[in-house]
Amino acid sequence: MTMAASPPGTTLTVGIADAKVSADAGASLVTHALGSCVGVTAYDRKRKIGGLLHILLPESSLDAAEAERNPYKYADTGIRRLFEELARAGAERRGLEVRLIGGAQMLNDQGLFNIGHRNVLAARKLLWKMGCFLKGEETGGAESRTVRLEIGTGDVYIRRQGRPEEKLR
Amino acid sequence: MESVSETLETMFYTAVEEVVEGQSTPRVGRTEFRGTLNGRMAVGLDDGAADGLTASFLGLDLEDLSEQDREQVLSELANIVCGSYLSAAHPEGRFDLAAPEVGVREEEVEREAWEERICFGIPEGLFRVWLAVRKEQA
Amino acid sequence: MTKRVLIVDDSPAIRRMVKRVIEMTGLPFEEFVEASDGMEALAAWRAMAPELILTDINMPGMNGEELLAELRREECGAKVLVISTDSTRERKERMRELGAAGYLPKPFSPEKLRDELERILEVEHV
Repeated sequence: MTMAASPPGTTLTVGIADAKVSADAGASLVTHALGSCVGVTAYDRKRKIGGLLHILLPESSLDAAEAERNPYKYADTGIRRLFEELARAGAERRGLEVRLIGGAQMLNDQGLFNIGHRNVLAARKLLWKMGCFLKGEETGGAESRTVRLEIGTGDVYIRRQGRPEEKLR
Repeated sequence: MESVSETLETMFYTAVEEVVEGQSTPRVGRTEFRGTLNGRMAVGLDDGAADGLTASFLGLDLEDLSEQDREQVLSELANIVCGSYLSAAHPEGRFDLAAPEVGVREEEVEREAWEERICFGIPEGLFRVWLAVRKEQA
Repeated sequence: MTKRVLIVDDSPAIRRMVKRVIEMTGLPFEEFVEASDGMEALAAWRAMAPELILTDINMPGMNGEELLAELRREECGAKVLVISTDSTRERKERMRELGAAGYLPKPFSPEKLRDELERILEVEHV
């Protein structure tokens, strides 16, 4: 996880089973292809520090060894690790604005029962366990989404196929 | 049942996956209600579901659960499933719900008369509902 | 001045969950007292005069409706939030007539409880 300062208007892309944190007011964190996956944005408004996580599966207990290798793959270990990284960057847990995006029911879920919905539930469960309220969610449906978190403003934008970017309230 | 799904998703962070047959749910909570509808409802869990749902509801890790935690959460689970079912079935009605009884033996519950029995598979394990209901004479 | 909240429900699990949500909100409550029925709640109210009372309806002994009727007779100035699986119209109306400031049906998410608390206490989260 890199935390270098970047030139204004920089887009930092978060891949699948990955996360990034930034305190750079000119940066945006983006992740694509949130089908059944869930994107988790977290923002400390006071300090203007934000993070974005892209999780694939709900529970790390499904494969503890894999979760050890890459915690960002699972909702429980991923969100925990994201919060740790945010704390390391100086963000405060109380008042953190957390949103969930994605968790759609896609046609090619590889036979995994309703994995999108389960990812959303697992994320909500972890947030409750960590004593963190959810600010909002843009989840469900049957389409893939892209999400962008602007570090300077804390604004979160989503894009669904063939449509312009929308800011989440 | 809608109230089962809504309860499980909202406060227990889990979802019904399928209907299953012929399995045991030894941890049972049973309650009675009177009013627009009279009857009984019982909720049964297997150990996996009891552990998972208790941890989820209280926001704890599995390792930190006590038997008392499991009983208390089972009691509230039965209460919420029953009460929300009754309110949804008759929003213009009235009802009084007794405090659920836990530690009831599944064999004993199975011997009672029930109109409906359904067992669901959830990711944590098994979740069963028994229901017996009669409408009050107007 | 110490702000106090009284949580009334015969379910210890719900009392714990509710207390946790209130703590998460950062609202300035310093003292939490719990009661498992109307009688205990009345005794607690007379002893500590909480600013906020959260109560269920269906409880053994004195239920939530009877509790509110009694609190009203004693001119209780606390804000009361009813939290119950009973969301029938008749009951909701009755509880409001008895002075409930809000009504939260079970099941509820932590966010819904927080929103309802902020609404009746007239505060906003940042």
